[in-house]
Amino acid sequence: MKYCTTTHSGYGFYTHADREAAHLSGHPGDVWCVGNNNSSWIERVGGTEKTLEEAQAIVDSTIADAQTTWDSLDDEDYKFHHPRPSTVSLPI
Amino acid sequence: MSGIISDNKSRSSGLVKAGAGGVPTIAGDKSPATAGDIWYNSSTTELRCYLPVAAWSAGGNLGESNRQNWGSGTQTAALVAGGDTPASDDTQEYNGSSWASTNATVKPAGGSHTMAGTQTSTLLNGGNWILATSETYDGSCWTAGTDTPGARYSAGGFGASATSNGVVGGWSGALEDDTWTWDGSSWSAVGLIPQGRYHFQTCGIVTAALAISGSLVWPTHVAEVDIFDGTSWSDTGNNYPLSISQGAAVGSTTDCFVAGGHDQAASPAGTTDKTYTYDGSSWSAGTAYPDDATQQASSCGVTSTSAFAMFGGKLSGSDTNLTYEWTDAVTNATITTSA
Repeated sequence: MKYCTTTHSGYGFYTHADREAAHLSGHPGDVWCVGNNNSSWIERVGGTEKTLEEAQAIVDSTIADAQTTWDSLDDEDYKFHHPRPSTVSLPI
Repeated sequence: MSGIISDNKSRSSGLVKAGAGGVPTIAGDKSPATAGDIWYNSSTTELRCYLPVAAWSAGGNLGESNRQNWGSGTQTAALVAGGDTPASDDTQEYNGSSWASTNATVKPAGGSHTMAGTQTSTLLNGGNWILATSETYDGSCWTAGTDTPGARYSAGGFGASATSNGVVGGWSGALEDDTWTWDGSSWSAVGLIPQGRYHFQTCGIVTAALAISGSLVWPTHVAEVDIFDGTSWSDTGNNYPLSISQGAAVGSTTDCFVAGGHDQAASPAGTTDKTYTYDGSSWSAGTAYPDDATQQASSCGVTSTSAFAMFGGKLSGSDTNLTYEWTDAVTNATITTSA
């Protein structure tokens, strides 16, 4: 599995062929996980490759920030309808 | 009326030899028949009728319990994706009896996105983390679509396919009233909904959609029902009987079915099992959802009278993986007696 950060660019960012070629999943913090060590997709979308530990740290930090924000909200509507962000373990 | 049939001259029980008193005799079942028709089937020597049957029945369970997932398709070819508690990126297909997992969504796991289309052509947009991204499902994989002009969470979705879709309202950190339609190549900003809201019920296609009730700033809900003609929204004047958010809706502007949701006007406020159908001018109460009251469930289906299914959601206590199918049909039935 490879890990990178990149910004979703919309149509064509990942295609049916990309999905069939390898695992692909997006995570908080614009972190992307790519199976089969598929560097070609990372290069095509201009991604910055990360180690698992670096990628997981970005996700954890993003989620921690979101949890802090959620905990400080007085907006009961938002809290009622919007679950508190939960931790994510990146696939290995 | 007593049970005397004119040809049964002895007035004894037993075989009825011919229809009488206005009940026609047919060597078989009547076709075509209208709900309420009665006839004597001379082939089977039975008194038959064409009987409306409307009922919920249990379907196959989802692979996981969650809520705020979304569904599309029909009762025999449905699709569900995402969901919360726990955040999920799972995609499952339903064949009318069981669910099977297929390729996951690619966006960050979670729910509160919109989905509309068929099992082989669905568009998913937005969702938790307040996203602008969209993905299209082609029957096996989700692929990246074109971002909407703005990021949304818990908007309303409508449309017939991945290339004919719409998004209205939602939450971006504030209530939104935009409507965008997608024609397969670009998003177009069209009319604003009269009252911006989120966690509401939507159904229909890009040229004829409904936005039903929904949530404003907590705890305010509205019962308003708005209709979209492809260009602009207008108030139907036919308010939903409850003030709900996060119910399930399927159908069209003239044949719509709504079930469950969070009923803010109830005392105490909470999940509801009530269902209603809409014929384009008025709402009629239907058969209650069969399990504990539910909200944040997904749904699929085409009309109020064709098969329709609700799956997942939050019962009054916990999240569920249950699927219930609604069938509103008419069928031939034999009239029997009991002592």
